[in-house]
Amino acid sequence: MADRLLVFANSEVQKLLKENFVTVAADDWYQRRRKDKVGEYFAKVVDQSPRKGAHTKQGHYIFTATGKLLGFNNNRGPEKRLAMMKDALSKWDKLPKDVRPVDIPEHGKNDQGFYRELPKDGQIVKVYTRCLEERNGRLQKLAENKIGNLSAVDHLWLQHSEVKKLGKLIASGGGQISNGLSLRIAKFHLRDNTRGEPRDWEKDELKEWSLKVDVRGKVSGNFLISSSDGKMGYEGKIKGLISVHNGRLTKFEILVLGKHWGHSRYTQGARPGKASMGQVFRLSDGKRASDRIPPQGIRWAPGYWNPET
Amino acid sequence: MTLGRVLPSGKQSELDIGWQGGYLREYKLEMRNLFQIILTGLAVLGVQADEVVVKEIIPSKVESAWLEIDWKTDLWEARKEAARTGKPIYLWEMDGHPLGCV
Repeated sequence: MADRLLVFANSEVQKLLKENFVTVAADDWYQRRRKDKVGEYFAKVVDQSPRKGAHTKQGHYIFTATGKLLGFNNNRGPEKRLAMMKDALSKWDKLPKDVRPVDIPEHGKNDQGFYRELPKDGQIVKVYTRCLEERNGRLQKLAENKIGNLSAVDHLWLQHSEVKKLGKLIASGGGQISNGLSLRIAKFHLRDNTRGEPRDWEKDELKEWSLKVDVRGKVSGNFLISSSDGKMGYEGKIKGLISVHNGRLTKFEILVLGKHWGHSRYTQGARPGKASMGQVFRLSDGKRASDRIPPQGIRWAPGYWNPET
Repeated sequence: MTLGRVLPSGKQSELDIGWQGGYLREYKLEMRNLFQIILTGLAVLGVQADEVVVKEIIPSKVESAWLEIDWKTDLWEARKEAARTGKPIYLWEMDGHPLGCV
């Protein structure tokens, strides 16, 4: 999160990247595990870096299409990153010209164990989450110097069959949203990801859960989710509007407001006690690469698609 | 609707409405209308309040500036483009996708 604001929003960094590099971003959890041509290529680059042999391969790498490493850095802050980029470009300029244009073959089959893609005709809903606090009588984002003040982004994926089912439910007068979709939202998307990767909720941690849609597409719901020891949880209300036309979502706009508390292993630093949090679910057209990032909760794909298990 | 019709002129108190026959029915109708207007107003205010908080939650323009960079999400596609354009690759690798998730 800090990289986004501190480094990649910096105008000098942006200019250098746009003019001199092909930029790509990847989830290390998948990429370091891939047993396919992509994984082999990545491993070749990593093995030239300080990350060789390490469990995590997180960091910023600069390399050639042939896989020669030119730079590595894992520091935050634009100055060090700029220095790394300039140093790598200097090495690049010294390379023999014939290593630059090379023929890259197709990579063949993806390792399906560590590769996720949106199902055919599936749809994407962006999920924004932000810690809030009440100031001047209304809920507002945290003051800028507070941890968790940035909006976190995740994606909810829906299968075509689920959208069609939702459309039928609305057309027939409304009711409870099916468990597949409803529990997916609860277990994998109603959570505090503002400081890192939160864990998924277990089904028996959903102490109260209701998500309904009426004949006009109006959504309402409430929830109380809590770990067995009560140290981490989230409770609140859901409201919004869904429209389905010809088996396609044309609107999916949901607002979740509630109180969250506690942290999991990778989300340390939560505010003490129960604190306000807000979430917005909004339909995406999926046109930008950043819109097509798999949901955080889909690492275990069967669990994501069948959340009742 | 005017306040004058809800509270007819010459009326001494709320209790006076009863003996004025038709006034009571009209008074009830007007009050119902007024109540509906208030409810509609509150609903509008509720929607506006929701819109305000939605704006607080979604990323601001400043927060989204990093997306002005043309981030790809497929390393092999980036490799092919790098070979074609004669540029090096910049890879941002994180546990949890850097462009989403957190």
